[in-house]
Amino acid sequence: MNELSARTGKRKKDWTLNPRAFQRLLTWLDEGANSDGQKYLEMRRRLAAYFDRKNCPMPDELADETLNRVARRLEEEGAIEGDAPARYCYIVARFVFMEHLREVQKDDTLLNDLRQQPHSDALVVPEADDEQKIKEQRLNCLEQCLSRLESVSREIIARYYVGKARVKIEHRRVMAEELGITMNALSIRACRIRDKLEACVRECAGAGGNTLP
Amino acid sequence: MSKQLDDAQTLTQYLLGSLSAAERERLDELSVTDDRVAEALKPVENDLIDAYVQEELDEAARAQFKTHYLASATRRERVAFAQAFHAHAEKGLTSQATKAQVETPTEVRTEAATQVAPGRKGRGIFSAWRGFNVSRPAWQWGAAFAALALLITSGWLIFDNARLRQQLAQTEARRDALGHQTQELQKELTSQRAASAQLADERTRAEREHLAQEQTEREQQRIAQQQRAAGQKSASSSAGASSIASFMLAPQMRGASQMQTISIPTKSDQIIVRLRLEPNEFTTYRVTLFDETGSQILWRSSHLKAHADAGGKILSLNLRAGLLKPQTVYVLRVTNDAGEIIDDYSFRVVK
Repeated sequence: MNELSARTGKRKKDWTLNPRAFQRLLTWLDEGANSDGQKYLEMRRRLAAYFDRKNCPMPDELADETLNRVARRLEEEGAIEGDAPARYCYIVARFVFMEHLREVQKDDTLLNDLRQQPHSDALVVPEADDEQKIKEQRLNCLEQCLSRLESVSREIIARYYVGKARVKIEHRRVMAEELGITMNALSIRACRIRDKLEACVRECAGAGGNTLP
Repeated sequence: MSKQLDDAQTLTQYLLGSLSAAERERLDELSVTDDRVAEALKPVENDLIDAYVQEELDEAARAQFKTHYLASATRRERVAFAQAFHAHAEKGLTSQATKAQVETPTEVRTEAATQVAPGRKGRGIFSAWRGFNVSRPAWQWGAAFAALALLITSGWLIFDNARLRQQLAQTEARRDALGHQTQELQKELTSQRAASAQLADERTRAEREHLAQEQTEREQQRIAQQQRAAGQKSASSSAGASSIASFMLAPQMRGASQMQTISIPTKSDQIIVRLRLEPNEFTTYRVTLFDETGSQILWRSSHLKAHADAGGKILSLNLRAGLLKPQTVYVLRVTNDAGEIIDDYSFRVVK
């Protein structure tokens, strides 16, 4: 039995996502409608955010692990009955998180460091010169990424975050009226533009000035 | 399994890790399985990050943000990104403020800054993105052109108004002058008409008086002839026959120097005096004989009726010759029935 379990575990660890399994996963997530992989990307994002909120150090990897397991299950059993795709992914994500916690708890010193690490106003406690350079680089990347945005997107992100409290809400309401969309739709649009900008800045700062993806 | 979407405040508390374990677990699941919750989380998270960077969080929320939210490297990176935006916004506002120094009054800029982030030192994190709004210069140019056009139009209207007022004043002055001239001409016309009428009256009166004078003279000549004829007759039939003298008196002429003289023959017993009347509308008259002073009535007639001839109306009187003394002036006054004086006839008697 132990040997069987060990062989099963080894098979699971050796399994990699192949194109056919990936396609099956996409189809299963789409639930009949063809989203061109958008459902997969959205689910991956949600899972990564979930793991990030759980303070997992590598949320993207854990999200990938979750989706790999779902894909493997689909390949091995042909179908997943009983739960909607999103809920099944969450259930698997919980197991993945629990496993991650168990692995982390094995090293008490690391866990204590993670839990007790304080965080000040300025994010991390940087070395002054390095931090200043990083900030400057980030600002430069930001300017570059902004200049590559469409003028409409630039306008939206500029006006959406102007002001505070009621002033900000009023600005957003006016913007929504001008664009002829609901405030909810405007909020989603502004978020997507911001995400795009963040990704661009992240890539630029990491690669030293790449173009907008 | 999906429940009603939690509001933004609940989601904010969830992100700050302030909810109970059960509630946290519920939202963990919804964040993956519920499309609406998953969609709502992102903007709530962005607003939370901005609120932290803009120092809008209260102390408790800020502390929770630091201990819980910033525990993740990914989330720290997101805050760093937001802080970069803030720094970029500050830089953009400074350059924009310099450009708009001339155009925007201080009060407007202060108000805009206060509106964006009241009570704060800096500005809103994205408030500088007004600089990326490409239509602002167009608005400024358009406003400038509109102001210039308005200025030019106002200037032209003021000038035209002044010109029209001047024209109006000149027209009114001309009108007043013409009116004055018209009045003067009318006055002159009226006075000339009056003078003409007066002249016409005087001419008519003079003609009438001349005519009356001629009539009187003819009458007197006729009477004189009759007297001569009568005198010759009385010489041939001397005893018991009366002698009548007849005279014609004209109305008293203008100018007191003229005094009519009648010569009464010594032998006359009766005097017939014919008075030529000036034109009047009366039909019956009374005649009174006054002495020279006009105070003593020597004789008064009864109601007399005039008879007309070519020269006008004539009243005939019969007076006793003895009434009239020689070298004496008398006045015969003609009045109407109401006693109104129509005319006076002065004459001197010579015998």
